[in-house]
Amino acid sequence: MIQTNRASHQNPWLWFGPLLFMIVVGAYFVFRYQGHWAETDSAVFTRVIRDVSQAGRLIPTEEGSLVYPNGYSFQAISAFIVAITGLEVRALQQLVYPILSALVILPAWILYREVTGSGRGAVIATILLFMQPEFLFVILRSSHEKFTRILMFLCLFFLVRSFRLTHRPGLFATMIALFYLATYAFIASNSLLAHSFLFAIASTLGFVALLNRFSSFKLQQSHITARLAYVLIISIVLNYLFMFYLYPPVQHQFGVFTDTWSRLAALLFDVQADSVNPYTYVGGAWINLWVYFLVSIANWIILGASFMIWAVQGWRWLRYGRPPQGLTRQFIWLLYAAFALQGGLSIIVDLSGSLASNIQHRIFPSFSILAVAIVASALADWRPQRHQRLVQWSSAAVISIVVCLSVLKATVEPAVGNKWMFYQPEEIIALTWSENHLQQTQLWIEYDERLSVAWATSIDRSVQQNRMRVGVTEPTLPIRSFLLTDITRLRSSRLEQPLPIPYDAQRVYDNGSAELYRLRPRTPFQK
Amino acid sequence: MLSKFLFPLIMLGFLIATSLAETRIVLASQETACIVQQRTHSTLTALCQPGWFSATDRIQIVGSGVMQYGENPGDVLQRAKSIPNTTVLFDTGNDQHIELAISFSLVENYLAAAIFDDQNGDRKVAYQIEGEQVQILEPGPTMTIYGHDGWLEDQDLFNWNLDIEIDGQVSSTMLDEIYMDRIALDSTIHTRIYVRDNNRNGLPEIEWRKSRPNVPSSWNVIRTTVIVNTEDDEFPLEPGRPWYLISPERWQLTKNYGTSKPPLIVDWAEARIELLNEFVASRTNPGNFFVYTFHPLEEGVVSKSNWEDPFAFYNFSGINDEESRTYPNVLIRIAHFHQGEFSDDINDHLPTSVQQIDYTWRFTPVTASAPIWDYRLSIAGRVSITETYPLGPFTTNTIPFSKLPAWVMQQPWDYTTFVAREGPGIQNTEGIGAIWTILESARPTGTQFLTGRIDEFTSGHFDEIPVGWRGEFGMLGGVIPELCVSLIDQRVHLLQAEFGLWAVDDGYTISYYRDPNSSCINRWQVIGDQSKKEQLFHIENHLVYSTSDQIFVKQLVPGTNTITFLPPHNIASWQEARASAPTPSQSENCVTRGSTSDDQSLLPCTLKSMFDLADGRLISAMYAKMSNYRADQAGRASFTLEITPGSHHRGLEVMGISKIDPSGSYRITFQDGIFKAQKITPPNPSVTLSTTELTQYEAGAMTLHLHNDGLTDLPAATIEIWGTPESGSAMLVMTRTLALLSQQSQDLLLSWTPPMAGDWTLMPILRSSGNEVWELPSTRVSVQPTEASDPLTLLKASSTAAMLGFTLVGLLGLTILAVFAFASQWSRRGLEQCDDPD
Repeated sequence: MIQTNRASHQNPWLWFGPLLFMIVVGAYFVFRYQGHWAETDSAVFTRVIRDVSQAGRLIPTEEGSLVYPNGYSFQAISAFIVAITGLEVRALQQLVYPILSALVILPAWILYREVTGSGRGAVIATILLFMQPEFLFVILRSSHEKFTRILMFLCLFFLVRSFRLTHRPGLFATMIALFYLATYAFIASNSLLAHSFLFAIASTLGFVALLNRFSSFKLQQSHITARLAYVLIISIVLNYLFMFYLYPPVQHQFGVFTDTWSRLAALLFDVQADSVNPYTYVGGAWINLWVYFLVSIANWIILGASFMIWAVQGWRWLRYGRPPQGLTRQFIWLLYAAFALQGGLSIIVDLSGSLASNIQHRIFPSFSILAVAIVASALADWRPQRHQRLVQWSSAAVISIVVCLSVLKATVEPAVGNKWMFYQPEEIIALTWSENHLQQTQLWIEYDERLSVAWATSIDRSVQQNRMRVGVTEPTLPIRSFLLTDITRLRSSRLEQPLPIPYDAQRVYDNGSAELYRLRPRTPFQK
Repeated sequence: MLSKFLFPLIMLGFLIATSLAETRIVLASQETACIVQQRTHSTLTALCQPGWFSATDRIQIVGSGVMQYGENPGDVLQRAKSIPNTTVLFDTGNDQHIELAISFSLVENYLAAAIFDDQNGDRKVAYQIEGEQVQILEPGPTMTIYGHDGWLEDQDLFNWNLDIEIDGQVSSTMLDEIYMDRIALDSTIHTRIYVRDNNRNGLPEIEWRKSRPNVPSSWNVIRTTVIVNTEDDEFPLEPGRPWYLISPERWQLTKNYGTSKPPLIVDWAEARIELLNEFVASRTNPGNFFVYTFHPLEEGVVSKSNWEDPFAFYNFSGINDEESRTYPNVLIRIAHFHQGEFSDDINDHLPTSVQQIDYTWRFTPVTASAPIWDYRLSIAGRVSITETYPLGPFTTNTIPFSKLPAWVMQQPWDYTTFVAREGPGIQNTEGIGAIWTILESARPTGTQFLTGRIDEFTSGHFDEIPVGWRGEFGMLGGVIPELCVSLIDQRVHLLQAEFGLWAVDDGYTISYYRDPNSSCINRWQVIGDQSKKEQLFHIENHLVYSTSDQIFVKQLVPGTNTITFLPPHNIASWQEARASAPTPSQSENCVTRGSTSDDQSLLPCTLKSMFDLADGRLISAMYAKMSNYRADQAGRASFTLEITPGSHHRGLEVMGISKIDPSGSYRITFQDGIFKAQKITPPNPSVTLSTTELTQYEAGAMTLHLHNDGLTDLPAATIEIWGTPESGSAMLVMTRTLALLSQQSQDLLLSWTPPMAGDWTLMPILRSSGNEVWELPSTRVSVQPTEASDPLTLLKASSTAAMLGFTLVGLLGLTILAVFAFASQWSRRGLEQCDDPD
C-alpha cells in the first residue's frame, strides 16, 4: 500500500456525508407517518423502558412488569435519557431514536476504514450497508439493535485494529482492553447476538485449523489464531458471568425452548422463539412476490456479489497462495465464511423441522456487515478500465433506485406492503375510550398486531384487564367487542379478508374514523 | 368396728379408681411404659415396652432437666404441663439410631418443642452430645411447636393454644403435593399454624394455617386454611405416643367422624415427619366449617377469600341424639372466584364473580362409617360478595356460618343441576362428589357460558350419569331452585327442570323432560334400549305410555297439586322436605324391568311400572307407533300416531279416530282434555329469502321466512343457501340445521359476508333427514364493492398531503446523498491510498 493522501484523510465529509444521509433516512422514517408508527420489538422495548424507569431497577419485580431477558443496556440507556431530558418514552421511541440511529454510521465508518484501508472505502461500504433494507429496518426501529450494532462494530474495530498494533504494546493493550469492554457491553445489550458473534469467532478458528491443511493457506501472522482463541475464551467467561451472576433473566430465555436442540440453536444462531414462520411470512407481507424481490434487491445484490468476490478470493488464496491483501481482509474473509455458515445452518435447521417450529433467524444483518466489507474492499480497489462514464452513470442510477426501494422496505411502505406499521391518532383515541369503558373484555382490533403495538407504545398496558385480540376471526372463545377503523377496512380490502363483525352488532362508539361494536347479547349472561 | 367402715372404704376406693380411670380416658387410655435403665445428672435412658413403633423402643433424654423425669418418662411426655428443658431422642427398635429428636425449652414465655428429623436420607437423625447439650447435626428444626402456658391446661385437659412453624417437607395443607418438591428446609418458614381454645376447656374451637410456598402468585394453591367448630364440641384427643401430639397410627390430614387423633404423623421407618393433620375437624362434625382459599389472608387486613369459602356442615334434624351430634345432614359448599381473578376456563380475567354452590342433604340414616347422601343441588351464580365479616383473626368476605343457609336462599341464582341417589350411593364426608357439578364437572364451558363468553351451554358434560344416579338441569333466572315431586314416577325433581337423565341400571337409562306449560317433569323416554322405544307422557290428567308398536292411555284420578318445597335450610324446612320427599330407592328395592311387585312401598323405576302404578283407568290401547311429540306454552300437545292395520284396537274414539278404517298415520292433538285426530299430509315447505344492503367483505343480514304447510314435521331438516356470482360457479354460502314443524312458520336471521362484489343468485335448498330435497325459488341480490386499497388511498390514509410532499422531498434528498457519496468516492481518480501499512 502507498502512503495516504492527507487531504482525503482529513476530509470530514467522508464521514459526515454518510451521517447526513442516515439522518435524512431517519427523518424520513419518522415523518413518513408523522411519528405515528409502531412495531412489535419497539413496543416491547417501550414497555420495558417504562417498567425500568418506574421501578428504578434493571430487573423490575413489580407484578406485571416486563423484563427483557437478553440484556439490559438499551433500557438502561433509554431510562437515563428519559430521566435527564424528561422526554416521554413514546416520543423517545417514535421520534428521537430513528433519527439517532444515524450514530451507527460512525463506528461502521471507522470499522470499514480499517477494513478497506481508506476513507473512500469506508464511505462506499457505509453507503452499501445502509442500503441493506434488513439492516436498515433493525437500526431504524427503536430496539436494542442500534446500540448492539454500534458495539458489534466497535468490537470488530478494536479487534482488527489490534492485529496491527503488536509492535506498539501500549496501544495494543489499550485496544485489547477496549475490545473486552465493548464485548461486555455487547453481551449486556443482547446476549443472543453476542453468542452468534462468539460462534462466528469460534467458526473462524475452526476454518483456520481446517484450511491450514492447504499449504497455500497461510494466515499472514499466526499470532492471530492465538489471539482469537483468547478472545473466545475470555468472552465465554464474560458471557458466563453475565448469564449466571449479573443478569439471570437471560437464563429464562432458554427455558422457552423445550428441547436441547432448540436451546443449542438459540445459543448459537441468534434465534428467538417467534410465532411467525419467516418463510411463509414473505409471501404474505407484500402485495406480490415480485415486489418483495424488488424492495429487497439490495440484499440479493450484496449477497450475490459478496459471495462471488469471496469465492474468487478464496480460490486465489487456496489455489495459488494469493490471499486477500492485508491481515484485516484475510480475517474478514474468514469471518464472512463463519457468518455464512451460521446463516446456512439456521436455514437448514429451520426447513428440516428438527427443531421446534417457529424459530426465526436474524443472521442476515450480521452477515451483511461482513458482506459489505468484502464488496466495498473490492470496489475500493477496482475501477472499470473502459466505459467509465457509462458505468458511473449506470451505477448511480442503480444506487438511486436501490436506495429508494430499500427505504420503502425499511419503512414498510403500505402502498407495496401488506404489513402496515402506521396508525391514526383516532384509533388510539378509540382504544383509550375502550380502556376507560370496558373491563375484563377481549377486544378484536385487527388482523395483526398493528394496533396492539401502537397502544403499547402510546399508552402502555390495560389496567382494566382488557385484552386485545388480533388475527383470529373464529376463535374458540368468541370475542364480543370489535374495533373497526378506516384503516381496518382498507386492510380487509388489501388482504381480501372478511370483517369479523356480524351485521347486527351494536355500534357503541364512533369518532368518525374508528368504531366500536358489541355483539348483541344472546343469553342472560351477556351484555 | 373395722367391718363397719370396710364397705364405705371399698366404695370410696372404687369411686376414686373410676374417676382416675375417667381422667385417664381424657389423657391416655394406653400407657407408654418406659422404664429408666440408666440415669446421670444430665442423661437418662429408658426402654419402652411395648414401644410406640416396635416391641422395644428407646428414649434418651439429655439436659439439665433430666432429674425432673420420674421413673416413667413416658408419663412426662404424655401428660406433663411443662416438659423440662431437655432434648428427647427417640430410637425405634433400640438399634442406637435416633429417628426423631425433640428439643423442649422455654422461648419467650412459650414452651417450645423443636422437632428434628432425618434430612440427608440415611433414616436417622445425626447428633452429638456435649455435656448437657445435644447438638443435632441435621438441618432443622423441621417443625417447632409453641405452647402458650404449657402443654396441658391442667392435669386433665390439653392446652390447645398452639403456634406451629414448619420449615421442611411436611404435608400440612390440602393439595400441597402440588408444590412440595419446591419446599426445602432452608430456615424459611413456609407454613404457620395457629390453634386456639379460647375458653380453655381442652377442646380447640379454631385453627388456621398460613401456607406461603415459594411458587408464582398465579398458582392456585391453598394459602390459607381456616377451620372452625362453632359449637365447641370437638371430640377429646385420643392418646398419642410417645409424645401426646404424635399419633400411634397413620391417618390423612382430615379427621374422621367421632374421633380426634393426635395430629403429628411420623414415618418412623424413614425417620421423617410426614404430616401435621387437623386439630379441628374440617368436615366431620355438624356445626363445623372450613375455608380453603388461594388468596393469602393476613391478620389486621381486610382480605378477599376465594375457592371453598366456606364449606359448612349442618344437622337440621332437630333431634339431639348421637347420630345428629356426630353426622351432618346438610352440607353447603361455596366455591367462588371474584371478578378480575384469572380463570383458566375462559383464559382471561373473570368479568364477574362466579360461584358454584353445592347444596347436599340426606334423609337416609347413617349405617356405616360415613353418611350416604341423597340429594344435591349444584347451583351456578354471579353474586358479588362485597360485605366483609370476621373469620377468626381475619376479616374476609366469607358468609358467616349461621347466616349461610338463609343467604343461599335469598340470592339470584342462574342455573343448576340436581342429582338424586337411586342406588347404594357413596359414603363420603363431602357429599355426592363430582357428579354433575354445574361448573367444575362442566369445565370449561360452564364458566364460559356463565360469564357470557359463549352463547350456548354445549352438552357433553351432562349426557351421561353413573348407574344409580339421576341428574337434572334447569335454568333459574334469578331465583332459588325449588323441588317438586312427580306423582307419576314418585321422585323428587327440580322444579322447572329442562331435562334429566336417570341411569337405572346397565342398559336401561331414562331421559326425561318438561313441557313448557308444566312446572315439574312430565315426559320420560327410555334411551338405553332402542328396540322397545318406551315413552311416557303425563298430559293434564292423562297418562300415555307407548312402546315401539303399542300405545296405552290412562285417565288419571284427579289428584293433588304438585308438591313443591325448598331445599332444607333450617329445622322446619328439613322436616318439611323429609315429609314431602319419598325415601330414595336403592337398586335392590327398585322394580327393574321385567319384574313386578305388589309391594306398594317400592318406588317404580321403569316406565311400565310407573304407568301401571298410576292411579286411573285405562281408556285406550292400540297397536300403533307414536312419534314427534311436542307441546307448547298454551298446553297443547301433539304427536304422530301410525296405526297398525288389521290389529285389534281399543278406545279409538278417545283419540278421535274413526273405527271404520283406522289404519294410516294421524296427527293427534290434545288440549283441554280432548284428543283430536287429523290424517297426516306430507311436509310442504316454502321459503322466502331477503337481504339487507350487502357490501363485499362485510357481514350482511339474510332473512329466511320458512313455513311448513303439511301435517308432517321436519324435525331435523337442513337448509342450504347456494350462491352463484355473476362470473363464477355456485358455492355453498351457508347451511343450518333446523326443525320445521308442521303448520308452523319460523324466521331465520343469518349473517353472510360476500367474498366478491357484483350480482349474485341465491338459491335455498331444504333437505330432510330422510334425504328428501326441496329446491326453492332463488333470489337475485347485488353486492357493493369494498373501498379499494390502492396506493393513492393508502398514501392519503397514512399521511397528510403536506407531509407527503415533505417525505417525497426527503426520499429524493437521501437518494441524492447516497448517489453522490457513493459515486464521488468510487470514481476518484487514481488508486485509493491506505492509511498505515499492514
